[in-house]
Amino acid sequence: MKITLITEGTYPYNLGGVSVWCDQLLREMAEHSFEILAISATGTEKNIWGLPGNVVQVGTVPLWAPTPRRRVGPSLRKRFAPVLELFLRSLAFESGGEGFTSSLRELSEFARTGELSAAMSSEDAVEMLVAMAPRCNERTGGQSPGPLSVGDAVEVLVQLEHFLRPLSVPPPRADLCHTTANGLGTLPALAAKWTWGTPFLMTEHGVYLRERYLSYLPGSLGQPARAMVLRFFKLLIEAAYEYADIVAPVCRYNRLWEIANGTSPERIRPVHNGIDLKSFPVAATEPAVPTLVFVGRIDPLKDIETLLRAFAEVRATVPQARLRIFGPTPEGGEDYFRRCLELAGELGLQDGSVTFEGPISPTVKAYHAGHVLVLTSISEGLPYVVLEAMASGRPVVATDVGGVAEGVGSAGILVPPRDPSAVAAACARLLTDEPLRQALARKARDRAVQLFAAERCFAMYRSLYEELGPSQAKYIALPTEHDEDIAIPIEQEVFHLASSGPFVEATPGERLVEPEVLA
Amino acid sequence: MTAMTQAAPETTAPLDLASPASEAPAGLAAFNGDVPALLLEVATAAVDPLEIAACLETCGLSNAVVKNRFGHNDVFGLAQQLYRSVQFRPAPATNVRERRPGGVVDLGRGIVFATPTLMFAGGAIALRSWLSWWTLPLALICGWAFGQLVSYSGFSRQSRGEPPDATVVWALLVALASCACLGLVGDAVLGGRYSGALFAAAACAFMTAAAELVVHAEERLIALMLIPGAIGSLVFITHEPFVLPTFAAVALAGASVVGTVAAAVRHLPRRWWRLPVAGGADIPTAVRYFAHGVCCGLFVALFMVLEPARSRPSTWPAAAAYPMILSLGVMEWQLRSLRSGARVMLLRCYTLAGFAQAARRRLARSTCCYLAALLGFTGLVQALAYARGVSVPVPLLVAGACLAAAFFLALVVSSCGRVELVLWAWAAGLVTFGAWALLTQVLHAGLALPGADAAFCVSAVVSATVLAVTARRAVVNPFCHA
Repeated sequence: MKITLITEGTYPYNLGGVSVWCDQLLREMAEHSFEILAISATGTEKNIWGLPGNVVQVGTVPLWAPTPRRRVGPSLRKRFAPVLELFLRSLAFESGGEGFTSSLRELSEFARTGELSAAMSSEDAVEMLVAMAPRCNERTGGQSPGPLSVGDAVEVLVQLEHFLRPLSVPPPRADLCHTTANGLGTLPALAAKWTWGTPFLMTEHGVYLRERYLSYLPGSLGQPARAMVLRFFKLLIEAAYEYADIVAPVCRYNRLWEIANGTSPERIRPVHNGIDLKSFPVAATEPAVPTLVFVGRIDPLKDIETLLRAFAEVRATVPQARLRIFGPTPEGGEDYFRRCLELAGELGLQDGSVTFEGPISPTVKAYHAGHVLVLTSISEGLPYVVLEAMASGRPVVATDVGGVAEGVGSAGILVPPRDPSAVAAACARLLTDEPLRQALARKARDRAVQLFAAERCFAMYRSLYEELGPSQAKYIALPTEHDEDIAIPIEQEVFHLASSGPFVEATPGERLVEPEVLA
Repeated sequence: MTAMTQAAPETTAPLDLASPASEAPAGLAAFNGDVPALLLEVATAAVDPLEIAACLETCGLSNAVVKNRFGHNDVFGLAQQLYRSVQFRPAPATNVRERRPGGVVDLGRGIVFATPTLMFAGGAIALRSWLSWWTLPLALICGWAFGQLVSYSGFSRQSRGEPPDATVVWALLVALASCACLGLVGDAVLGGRYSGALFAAAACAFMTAAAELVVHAEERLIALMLIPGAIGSLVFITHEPFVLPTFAAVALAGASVVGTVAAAVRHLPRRWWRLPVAGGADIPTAVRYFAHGVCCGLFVALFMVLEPARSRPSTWPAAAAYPMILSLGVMEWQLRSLRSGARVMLLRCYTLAGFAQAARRRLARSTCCYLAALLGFTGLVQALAYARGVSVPVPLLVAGACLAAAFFLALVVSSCGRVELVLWAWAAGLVTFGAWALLTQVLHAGLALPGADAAFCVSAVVSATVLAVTARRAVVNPFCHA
């Protein structure tokens, strides 16, 4: 099978749990060929993962790269106005999202010819948006939550224009589109579904919509602008859930959000993440100094501030305790890292008891370097760090968010998010109560072996691929006079693609990043 | 992390930790006064029940907690109840800072930009005595061009939230190599000493490095680095060798250059030797900014080119450029005033027509302020010339004023992202200059100086006129100020 794997902000340009999962998937599914369509930030990112030989192409859709300036002539204005109106009307709450998907289909036509950016950045669009915006807030009963200023309208249009850029890619021609998340990455998959009837499998690690709500907290934009942007995300996510043939969350917890957004339960097939158990042997010994370990990105979603506050409380009980933080600071996260360093200083932790040690390879060294793994995230799917630490025979103290509870089970201690005292109490207990720590460590290893082996995870994906395989594709490939493949959707006209899209030939290579390098 | 959040960290409001809010509205009574501040904020301004559900989860209210404490099946049930019962209150954007236009900080920045005037004046004097006529023009053209390139690259990276790259190093290397090669060719073909190439390379390096510091908003550092150069130039200008010998004055100017370059390269990434990577659409825009820099340098260089061609010691033609260079500070100040004023108007206007009117008014006000300052500086230069018993050719003075106005408008238009329109204006000016000079040569069988002055004057007027029309159109586009 030829599969288009669509990623956003992860593989092959970034580290992280989702990237690890992608790398595992590509290597495990050696019998299939893959093309990767990566939605990236600027398009200047470097590939940091060695691509396996079955990856034939890599395409990139940069969301924030500058685009060539195009003139918006009268003809474009005339053609674009009804499409934009339909799109903006669908964002109004009383429409119930009607017309959203059809407007997306029409917008994709403009995107593919490179006209969308110019048309969305026009003064006509601003005027139309200013007129429509008040109707996007259900809570005011259709009354304006405050007028939309020209500046807010510009901000909304700029953001929407960037978010719609994945539509500029020709719909992937593959036997299956597999996205690693809901959200913007589903736009090419939806286009392929509409154009070629390509089956669409969606894996969901974190809950995309929940993370968008946390990104656009009140105050991040003016109220009417925020309402519009969040409405766009909600409708897009609902559309993706509706069109996905199978939604495969990495934990059962995500089902709640998926069902709340209109996914029919029979199409939801949770597939837990899996790890290569051989890479995570049980540690033979424990470090001499009581040590807590955190492994992950230095990112607000990981709530390092709560971790630091908790550790300050742990030190009151276990004065000699250490906290070792492993993981990279992503681009754009430097301010947060600085804030964490400042907080550590304010809490009097500058005596070397807290160390930010950056990425570590292989990650198993990080787990072996501590007695307990601590994870203070405020939003998670089924984090690899938890599974890896468990496999390495380390008990876990983690916040009860997303699928963490499914991973930890009774082999660790769960605490509420954003509660430093609860984290501190759990950590102090595990550091001081050796029999309990040893018992949980054994339980953790057993649980990891039984439930989270990579073979088990990818066997399930293999069966999902077979289920959605070529027999499900609703197109046939015919040779053209130029001997090129052109897909002909059943009962649809022939589509001549304007270009081959953003793909470049993939160069197979060695693994550049050890799969255990987690962030 | 998604590509979206990665590139737009500014959109993420800081998460307020679970500190209890002081006063809970009616719908949150079930929390018995223990409402996390974040939940209160979200519940009052939520646009969808699911937004409240997301917040509940991150505040530690899992399904189990919600079931035990509030009797709902899950967080969605509680979220729905809060969405219906909590009084809606729209949340204004908190990350928008309205800055008063034309603040003292902007004026301070402007003064820093005016300081190199002294070095320019020193250079002009040096040009008369011991530098070849082509050295300062070469330095200005190269320095301005590479400076524009570096600042475009830096600002566009910043706008995308990317870390600094090695553009400044590569720009410095290429600029120095270009100046050295062109300087050597100049020495060989046009005559001169090797000090000319050295001078050009140093001035070019200063301008390129200063552009990098401007990108990092380190004008104070530029000001600091300029102090020795300014002292050296003053000594040179006032011909006071008893205060400092000439070589010491030159050494002070050199120290400024070295200091500025050293300050700029502080921002290099660890792997500075790696070539900077530019996105597809970045390259044509960068080339346009480079060409814009070449044009700016070329126009200012015309004063220098015309300077040594005069034999009468009673004229002081280089002084015609001083009002423009002295007013660079006011130019920067008024540009920033205009930009911040337009941004404020974006948030206060609710119709495009209203915004367009306000933006045009702002442009007119800033242009008038700048022209008034320019007039003042012109008067000052005339008074200085009078005091020295020399005269400044009137056509050149007019050309200088028009060119200054054109520079200001070019700055406005390019800051609106329409640098290609600026290039058209410069092209119109240069074509006019060439045509006028050619016509004068044909009519008078040789290009006399008054003819060249007039050609310069007319070309500056043409460029300024084109830019005035362009600027009026560019500033009304709201996307230019976003």
